[in-house]
Amino acid sequence: MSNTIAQDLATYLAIAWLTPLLSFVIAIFNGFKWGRTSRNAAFAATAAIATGFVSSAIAMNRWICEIGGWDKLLHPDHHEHHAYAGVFYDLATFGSLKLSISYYIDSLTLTMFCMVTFIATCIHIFAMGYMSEELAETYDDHQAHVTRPGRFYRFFAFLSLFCFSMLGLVIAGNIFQVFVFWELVGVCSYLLIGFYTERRSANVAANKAFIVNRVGDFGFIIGLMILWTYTGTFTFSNAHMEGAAPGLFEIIAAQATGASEAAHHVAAHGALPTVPQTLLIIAGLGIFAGCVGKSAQFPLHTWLPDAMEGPTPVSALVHSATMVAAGVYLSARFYPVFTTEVLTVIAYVGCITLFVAATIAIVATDIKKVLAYSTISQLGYMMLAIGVGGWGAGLFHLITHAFFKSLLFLGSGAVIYGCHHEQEMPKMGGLLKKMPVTGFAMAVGCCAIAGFGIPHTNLAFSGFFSKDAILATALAYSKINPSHSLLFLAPLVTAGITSFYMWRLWFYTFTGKTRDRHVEEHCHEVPKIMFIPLLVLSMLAFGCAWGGEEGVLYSLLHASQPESCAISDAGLPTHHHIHESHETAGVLALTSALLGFALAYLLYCKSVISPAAIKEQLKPLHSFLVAKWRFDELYDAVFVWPSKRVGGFIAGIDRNVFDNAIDGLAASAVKVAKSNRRFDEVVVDGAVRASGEIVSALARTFRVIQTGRARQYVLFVAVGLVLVVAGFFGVILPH
Amino acid sequence: MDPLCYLSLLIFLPTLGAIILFGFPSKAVDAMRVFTAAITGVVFLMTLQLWLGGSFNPVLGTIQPVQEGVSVPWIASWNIHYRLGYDGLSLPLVVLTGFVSFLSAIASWSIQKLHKGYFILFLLLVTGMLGVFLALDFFLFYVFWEVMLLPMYFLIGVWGGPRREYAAIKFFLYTLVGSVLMLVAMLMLYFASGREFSLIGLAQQAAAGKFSSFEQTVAFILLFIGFAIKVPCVPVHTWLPDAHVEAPTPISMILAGVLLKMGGYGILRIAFPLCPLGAYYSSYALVAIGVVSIIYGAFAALAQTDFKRLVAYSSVSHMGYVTLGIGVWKLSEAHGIDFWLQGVSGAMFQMIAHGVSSTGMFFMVGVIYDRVHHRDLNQFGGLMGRMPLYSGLAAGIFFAGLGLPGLCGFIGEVAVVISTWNYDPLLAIIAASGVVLTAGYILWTMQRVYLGASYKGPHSEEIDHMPFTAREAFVGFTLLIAAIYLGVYPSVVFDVMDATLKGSLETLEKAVATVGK
Repeated sequence: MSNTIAQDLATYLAIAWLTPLLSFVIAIFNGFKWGRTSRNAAFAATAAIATGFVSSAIAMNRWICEIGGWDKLLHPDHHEHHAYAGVFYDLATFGSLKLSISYYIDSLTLTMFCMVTFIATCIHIFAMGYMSEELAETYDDHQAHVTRPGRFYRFFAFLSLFCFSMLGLVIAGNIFQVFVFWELVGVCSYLLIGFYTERRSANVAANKAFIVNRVGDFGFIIGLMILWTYTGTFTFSNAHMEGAAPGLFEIIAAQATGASEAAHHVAAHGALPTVPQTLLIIAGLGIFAGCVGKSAQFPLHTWLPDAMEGPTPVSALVHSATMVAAGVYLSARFYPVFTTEVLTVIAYVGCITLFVAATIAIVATDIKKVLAYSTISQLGYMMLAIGVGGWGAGLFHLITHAFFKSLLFLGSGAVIYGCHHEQEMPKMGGLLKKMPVTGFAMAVGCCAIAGFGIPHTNLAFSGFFSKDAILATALAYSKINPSHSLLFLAPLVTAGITSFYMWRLWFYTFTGKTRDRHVEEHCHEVPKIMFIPLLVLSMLAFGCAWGGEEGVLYSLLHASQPESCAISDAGLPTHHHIHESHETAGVLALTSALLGFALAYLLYCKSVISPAAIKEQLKPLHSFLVAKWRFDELYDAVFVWPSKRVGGFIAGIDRNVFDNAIDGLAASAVKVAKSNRRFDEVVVDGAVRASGEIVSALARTFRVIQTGRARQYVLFVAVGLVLVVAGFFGVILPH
Repeated sequence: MDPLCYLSLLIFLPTLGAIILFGFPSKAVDAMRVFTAAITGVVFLMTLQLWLGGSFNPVLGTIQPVQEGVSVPWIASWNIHYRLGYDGLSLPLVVLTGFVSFLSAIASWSIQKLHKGYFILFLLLVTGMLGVFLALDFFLFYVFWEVMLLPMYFLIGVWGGPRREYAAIKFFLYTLVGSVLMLVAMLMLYFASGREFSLIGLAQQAAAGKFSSFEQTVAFILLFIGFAIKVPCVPVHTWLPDAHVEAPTPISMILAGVLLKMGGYGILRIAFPLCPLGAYYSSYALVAIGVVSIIYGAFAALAQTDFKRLVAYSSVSHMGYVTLGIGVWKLSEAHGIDFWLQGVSGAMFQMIAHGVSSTGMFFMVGVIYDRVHHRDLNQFGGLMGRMPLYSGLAAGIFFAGLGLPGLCGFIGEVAVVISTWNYDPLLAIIAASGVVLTAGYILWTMQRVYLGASYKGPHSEEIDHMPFTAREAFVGFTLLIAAIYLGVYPSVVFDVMDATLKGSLETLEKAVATVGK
C-alpha cells in the first residue's frame, strides 16, 4: 500500500519537475523560429511551471489524505515520519556501490515543491511584463552601448531550465543527486546573471557567482568523498521501506545511538558501516561549505550582491526565493548527519553573516543591492536557526522569506521598470503617488521582513512568526549554553537593523520629493500583468504563516523534523525550552524592529537628523561598509591574483624548463651530429682523401711511362724480367 | 560474416579507401571529401554494429567473439599471430574511434591544400587507430602503434600551422621514445614468457606468477612511461600543446579524441595485466602523477592566451583523471575492489567523455579560426551576438569540458575523485580542488571569446561573410547530443565495461594477493 503512495507522489512530483525541462527544450529549439516578437516561449514556460504547481498541489493533497487529513496534520498523535523513497534510475554501478537518480519525499519536499512552483509562476507572469522590452527585433542596451536583437525567448528558456534544476534538487533522494542539481542551478544562475552578455559587469558577476560557488563545492566534494568511502552509499534514507538498504540517516543514527535502534537492520543486512567521528565532522563541514557557497554565507557571500546584474525577476526567483535557499534546504535535509561541532559552526557562520550583511545593507544605495544584502542576512538567520537546533524555525523562515523577499524584489523590479531602469535610490523619492500599488505591496513586504505583528494574536505578518521562532530557539540555546549568548544577541540587534534598512529603503523610495527630474517625468505605475503577481504575493507574505507554530505551514514542516544525531549531548534546546523563551524573545524582537522602524522614519521620512551629516561624522566606518568590509579586495589579493601568478609560473615552467630541456636535448643531438659530420669530413674523409691523393700522386708519377707504344712495353717487360731473374739468382739464391 | 573477416574489414576498409583515393583526379576535391566522409561513416556504422548488433555480450567480460581472440598465424617462427578481438575495455574506444573519425572527416572540409595526400593519410591514420584497439597480439599492437605514428607526423608536418615542422618532429620523437621503451618491455616479456606475444597468454602467465617481481617492475616502468607520453602525463606532456596548436582542426580532434586514449588503453590492456606486481607497487606514483597532471594542466591552462593551447592544456588536466582513476588500487577490506573498480570505470568513462568534449572544443576553436585566422584569446569577444548558434553549441561543449552535471565530463571526473579518498585522502583533496580551477579557466575563456559587447580582433567582416554552415552545425550538434546523452544516461557506457573491468581487476587482485602470501 505504501508502495502505491510512494509511486503516486513520485509521479506527481516528477511531472512537476520535468515539465519545465520540456518547456526549456521547446523554447530553446523553437525560439528562433517563433521570432523575436513572439510571446510563445513565455506562455510555454508559464504553462509548464503552473502545471508544476498544480501537480505539486495534487501531490500535497495526496500526502495529507494519506496521513489522515488536515486535522491529523495540525494535531498529530505521535511523531511519525511519512516519508517515501525510491529510485528513478541508476547512473552507474560499481560492484556494491551505486549512483542513482532517486527521490525522497516527505512534507518538506512537498512544501518546497509547492513554494517553488507557486512563486515561480508568479514571477513568470511578472516577467512577461518586465521583459517585454526584449520583444523586439532590436533592443538598445544603454549600459553596454550596443543595439542587439531582443532575447525574450532565451530568458524564459533559461528560467524553465532553472525551475527544472531547482525541483530536481529538492526531489533528490541522495546527496549525489543533490550535487548534480546543485551544479545545474549554479549554471542556470550563471546564465541568468550573465543574461546581458554584452555587459562586462554582468559577465564578471556571472563568473564570480559560479567560481565562488565552486569553492564551496570543493568542500562539498570532500564531504561526499568521506561519506562515500566509509558508508558506500549516498542515499539519504530508506524511509523504512521494506527490503531497502539503509541510507546515510540510518547509518549515522545507528552510530550515534550505539546501534541499538538499528538492531533489525543488523539482522537483515549485517553490521552497518561507521564513520570515524573526526571524519564525520569534516564531512559535515564539507557539505556545509557547499551550503555556504550556495546560500551566500560568510565568507563566500560576495557573489550574491554582484548577481543583481541579472534581470530583476531572476533576482527575485533565483537569488532570493529559491536557489540561494537551497543551501539552507540542504543543511536542513542533512541535519541528521551533522554533529554538535558542525552545528555550532553553522550557527556561528549564520550569526556572522546575518550581522555583516545587515550592516552593509544600511549604506547601500542601489535598491536591489539593499535587498541582496538583506537576503544574505535573512539566510544567515535560517542557518543560525538550524545551527541552534531550530530545524523547524529555520525552514519556517525559509518559506516565509521566500514569499516576502520575492515580493520585495518584484516590487523593486516594478520600481525599476517604472523608473526606466533607474536603480539608485538617491534619485528616487516620492514614488508612492505615482506607483500606489507597488508602494503598498512593498510596504507589506517591509512589514513582513521587519517582523511586525501583535503578540498573542494571529494578526501578524509572516516574518513575525518565523523570526520569533528563530529568536526563541536562539534564546533557549543561549540559556542552556551561556557562552554562546552572542548567538542570541546578534540576531536580536540585527532584527532592529533589518527593520531600519528596509524602512529606509521604503521611505527613501516612496516618500518625500523625487530627487531626479528624469525619474519624476517618466515614472509610472506598472501594467496589470506585473502588479497582479505583486498583490498575490503580498497576501501570502502577510498570511502564509497564519497561526504561527500552530498553523498549517509550520505543522507541515514540523512533520518532517528529523532527529539530530547530536541531540543527546549537544545542549540543543528541547521544545519545552523553546516554548519558555517564546514570550521574551517575541517581545524583544518586536521592540528591536520597532526601534529600527522609528529610526528610519525619523531619518528618512521626517529628516529630523540629516543622514548625510551622520555619514560625514562616521566617514571611516561608512566607507568601510560601502566597501563591503573589503572582502572583494581581500579575496582578489589572497586567491585570484596568486592563482593567476601560479598559472603563469606553471606555463613558464612548461616553456622554459620542459621545452628548453627537450629543445636542448634536440640541440645537443644536432650538435653531436654536426661534430660527427665534421669528424667524418675532416678525419675519416680526410684519411680517405689523403690515401686517394697518395695513390693519384703515384699514378701521376707513373703516368710518364705509360706511353702506349708496344715496343717500349716489350722493352720494360724484358728489362723487368732480367731484373727479376738477376735478383733471383743474385740475391735470393746465395742465401 | 566470419568475425576475423569482419574485424579485418573494419580495420582495413580505410586503407582500401586510401588506395581508391589514389585513383581520384587531384581536382576532384569535393568528391574526395565526400568519399572520405563516407568511408569513415561506414566505419562508424560498423563499430556500432559491433556494439549493438548482438555479437557483443556485455555480461561475458571476456575477449569476444572468441575468448582467445580470432587469429591466424602471421610470422609463425616467432610465434606472432594476427590476433584480433574486443571486450568491454576496447569496444567503447573502438566506437569512439569510429565516431570521432567520422566527425573529423566532416570537419576536414576546411583543409585548403594537397587534398589527396591529406585524405589518404587521414584514412591510413584511422586504420592505425582501429588496429591498436583491436589487436590482441603484442607485436601486432606495436605495428599498428607505429603505423598510426607516420600519417600523424605528416598530417601535422605538412598541413599544420606556422611552426608545424617543429611540432611534428617533437610529436614524432616523443612518441618514438615511448615506442622504444615499449619495444624493450615487449621483448623482455617475450623471452621471459617463452616466446609469447599474445596479450591474453602473457596476461595469464603474469597472473600465474611466471614473471619475477623484478621483471614486472622494470617492464611496468618501461611500459608506463611509453603510455604516459601518449596520455599525456606531466612531465612528459609538452609535445601535446605544440602538436595541437600546429595541427589542422580535424587532426587536433583526432589527436585529442582518440590518440590520447591509447595511452590509457595501453596501461589498462598491457601494462597492468602483464605486470600486476609492478603496477601494484607503482600505484602511488600513478595516483600522484594523475593529481599533479590535473592541477598542473589546469593552472597552465589558466595562463594561456592562445585558444587552442588552452584547450590542449585542459586535455592534460582532464586526462589526469584517467591516470588517477586507474591508479587507486588498494588491497582493501571493506568494499573489496569496488572503489578501485569505480576509479577504473570512472577513468574509462572519462576517456570516452573527454573524447567527446575535447573533440568538440577543438572543433569549436577551429570554426572560429577558419573565419578570423587567429587564436588570441584577448582578441575575441561578442561572438554570442554575432554567431548565436555556434556560440550556443560551443557553450554547451565547453560546459561539458567544465564537468557540468548532465553533460559527459562530470560523471568520469566525479567517479574518479570520490574513489580516491579511500586510496589517499590528501591526494583526493588536491584532486578535488581541480574543480575550482577548471571552472576558472573555462568560464574565463568563454567570457573572453563569446561574451562581451563586441568582437575586438581582426577580420571581423569574415564572421559575417562565412555564416555557420549546416555541416559545421551538424558536427556541433552531434557532439553536444553525445555529451548530453552520456551525461544523463552514463550507464550506457558503464554497462559495456562493467563485467570486463570487474573480471580483469579481480584477476589482478588475485595475482598480487598470491605473491603477497
